[in-house]
Amino acid sequence: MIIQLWVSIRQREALSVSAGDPWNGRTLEWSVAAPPSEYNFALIPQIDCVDAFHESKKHRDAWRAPEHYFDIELPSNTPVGFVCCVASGVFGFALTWHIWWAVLLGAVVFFGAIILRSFNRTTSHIIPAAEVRKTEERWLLTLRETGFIENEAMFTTANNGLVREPV
Amino acid sequence: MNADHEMERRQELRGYSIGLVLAVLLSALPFAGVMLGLFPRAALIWIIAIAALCQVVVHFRFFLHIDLSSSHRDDLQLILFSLLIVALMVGGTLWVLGNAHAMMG
Amino acid sequence: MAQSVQGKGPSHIGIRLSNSAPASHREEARTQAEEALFGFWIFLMSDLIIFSMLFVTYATMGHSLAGGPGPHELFDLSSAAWETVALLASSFTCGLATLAMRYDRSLAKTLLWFAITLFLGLVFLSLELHDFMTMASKGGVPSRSGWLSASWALIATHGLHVTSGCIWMLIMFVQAAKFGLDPLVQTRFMRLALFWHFLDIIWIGIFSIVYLLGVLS
Repeated sequence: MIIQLWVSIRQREALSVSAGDPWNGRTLEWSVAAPPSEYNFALIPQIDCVDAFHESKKHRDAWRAPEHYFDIELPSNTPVGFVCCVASGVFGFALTWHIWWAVLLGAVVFFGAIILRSFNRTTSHIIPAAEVRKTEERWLLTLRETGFIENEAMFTTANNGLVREPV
Repeated sequence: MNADHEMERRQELRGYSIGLVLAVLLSALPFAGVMLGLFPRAALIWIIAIAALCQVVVHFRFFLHIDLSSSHRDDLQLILFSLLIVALMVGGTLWVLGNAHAMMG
Repeated sequence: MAQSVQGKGPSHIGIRLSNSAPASHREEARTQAEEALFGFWIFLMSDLIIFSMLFVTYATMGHSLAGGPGPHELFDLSSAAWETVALLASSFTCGLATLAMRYDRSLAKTLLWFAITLFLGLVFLSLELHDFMTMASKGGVPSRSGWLSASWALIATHGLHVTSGCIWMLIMFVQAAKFGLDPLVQTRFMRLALFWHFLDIIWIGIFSIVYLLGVLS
């Protein structure tokens, strides 16, 4: 696993598949950029069949730019979940082994984090439509500049995330 | 504040007051019954059980504002469903452990 | 007319939140408040299940005294009666606090009624703590018998709930001072009120089943 991480980090440029569909995927997660944008989908996809992405590629209407872009509201990042997870782990461990100072510490950190969180009034942020448009158009441009590769080249570094549909 | 508003406020205040009076009565009755020994034991058990049930209903109706009107239908359904689950779990526990008790005794 | 948007008759606790905001905003705030309150009801019902299991454990342990002290020696009914009085009164003052918040829109009045509620909650807790210490001093510690384990678990779980309600109230005082009675603070107070009333209902079960029926048996 360490070797795998090492290789994939060192050769990240050559191995990148920015068009987002390196395996000629069938489902919607392959229809966005790689790495995906923070909001995943510029428009929430409407689905009327199994393997919607596959169907849309078959009908040659995949990767369409949406007519309109909208503001997208997203929950903001927060460390509270992680802090609570660690603190409650300490709390439980310390209760089991009767380490009373750690019981107190875990409880104080756990509840303190939740209480502090309740004072936070801005728990979400909005990505304006203009920014969504910019991100999406940049990716669509990359997509158009990326050449299709044949199925056989899938496992080579030539794969930039766009595979020709076998006829 | 206009008259409508004031009336509503008074109505709600009356609700809380009625709730308080009923709750006090329904608590005082079983406490007094047991502490002063007013009734025979079998009657007391019934009084405690019925007073408690009535008081739970009073609390739901006057303090938690759950009634049969349509705007509270969701809450009421949630509560009834939870009560069904509680009944299953409580009934099942009593049944199983009662059996175990009888067999070991 | 602004009031017509507010619905007819005494409606759901906490629905009517904001009188000064324009109607559309108010409508939106009301929907959000309703959703938040419904979510809180789901939490309360899961709590109800915890308490019912503690109750049923208590019921199955009713005769498991293992030669230890029983309800006759350990329970002080007059103390339980005073605890009931404190908790009932606090439920009422809690209701008055929500009325002050929703109709008078007065921060001072709201906080005053919640402070009285908090005081009554603390009275309840100190009486309960005193009960626990009396029980322990008479040899009624949780490890003594199955019945004692079950009753300590049940009563102390309720006590912990009241304690967290008190802490919640203190936090809400800080939030109310910092943010004023804005919609978020109001729905939080509303949820706190639901929680508080709910604890009172659990207490009905405890004084009826544990204290009164316990002393009778």
